[in-house]
Amino acid sequence: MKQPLFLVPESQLLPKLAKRDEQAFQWLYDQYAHVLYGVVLTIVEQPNLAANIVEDVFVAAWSDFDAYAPHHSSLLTWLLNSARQAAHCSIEPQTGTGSAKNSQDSTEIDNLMAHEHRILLYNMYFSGHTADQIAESAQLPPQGLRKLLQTTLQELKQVFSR
Amino acid sequence: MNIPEYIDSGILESYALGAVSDQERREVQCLSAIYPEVRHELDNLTRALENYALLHSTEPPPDLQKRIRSRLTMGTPAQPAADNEPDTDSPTKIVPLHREVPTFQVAWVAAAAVGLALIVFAYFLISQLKNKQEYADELAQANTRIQTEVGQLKQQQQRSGQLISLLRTPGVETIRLAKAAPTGAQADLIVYWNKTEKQVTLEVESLPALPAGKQYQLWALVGGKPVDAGVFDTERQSLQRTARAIGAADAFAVTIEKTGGSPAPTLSTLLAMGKVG
Repeated sequence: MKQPLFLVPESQLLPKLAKRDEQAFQWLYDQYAHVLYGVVLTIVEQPNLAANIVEDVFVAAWSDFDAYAPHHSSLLTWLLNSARQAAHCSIEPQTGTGSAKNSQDSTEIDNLMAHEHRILLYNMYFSGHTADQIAESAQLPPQGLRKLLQTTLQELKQVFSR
Repeated sequence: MNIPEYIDSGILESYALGAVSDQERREVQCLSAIYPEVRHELDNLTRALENYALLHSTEPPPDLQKRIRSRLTMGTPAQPAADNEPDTDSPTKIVPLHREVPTFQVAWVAAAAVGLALIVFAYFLISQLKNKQEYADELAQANTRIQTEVGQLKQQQQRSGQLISLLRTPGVETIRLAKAAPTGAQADLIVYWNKTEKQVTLEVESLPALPAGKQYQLWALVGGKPVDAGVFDTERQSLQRTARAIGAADAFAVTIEKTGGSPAPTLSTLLAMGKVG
């Protein structure tokens, strides 16, 4: 599996973060602000709101860093999950199947994943819908959705292991 | 539990996407901590999602970093609860950083000064030690010299005492022996003869050096015949008592004879003579 490419590995970043080192913030921001802002912006679709949310996410991560459990997830996943959660909370939960209008992720994903899987992934990751809502709208039993998510994520895994 | 089956069940994918119940979440976290295969697969899935998220990266507004910074407290948090309050943390963090370099330099300068002072002091001590040692050597030499002198004086005094007691004894005659031939070597000695005790004591003032294996022999001339009066060595400045008893003598003479003495004097080696009376 291809690792996301970062200059400063987490092993180096974490001890400095624990000390709230000045350098640690610079690294943290330089490496993760783009992706956090991009993900939040995709969810909320408003640049000002997205910037405010990312700001809050960084401040919260800085003060709550002690709550981060390295054995449960990577730092980036922890930050992404908290950013997505904050973003989802700030928008009115939409009903329905979730629009795929903004789902033109990139040519890479468009070309390499089945359209159906790509839409599902997008909805799961960005729409803020719960699995139950999505299963309901797709008229799938929970086990069926789980199988579909498995196929989708395995496909995504294949895309990035090329 | 069948781990490959568990991995294949699809629960890890749902977990990665947050589509699991609380109980399922605990289960996945627990199993991934125990089984490396579960952990490995979960890592692969979350990395895939991280890569997916990275595809959506967007340049944030330029002032975002400054806005975040203004709300952060740098430095180790004293209490997790009080993170917005302690602005005093940053000064205490910064001051030592600036102070560190001069302290370091001052320490070096101080160390160098102390080292220099030690060297100078050591040099001073060494030169002092040298002076004292020279002085002590001088004293030791003077001491030896004085001791030698004292020894000599003691010897002299002892001899003088003996001489005085000898001269005080009634009936002791003093005979000065001088070189026999005008061309002979310098020879001076004094013979103290106690006629009543028949004892002869002599004192060498100067005699020619003895060849190896030879001794001086004193003769008493009685009625023109030499009588052995004992052998002796050159021991200047001391009184020697000879081994023979001499009851009568007209004169005394000294010759050089073989060690132990000869029955008759070798006239060719006659050194000194002196008449009694």
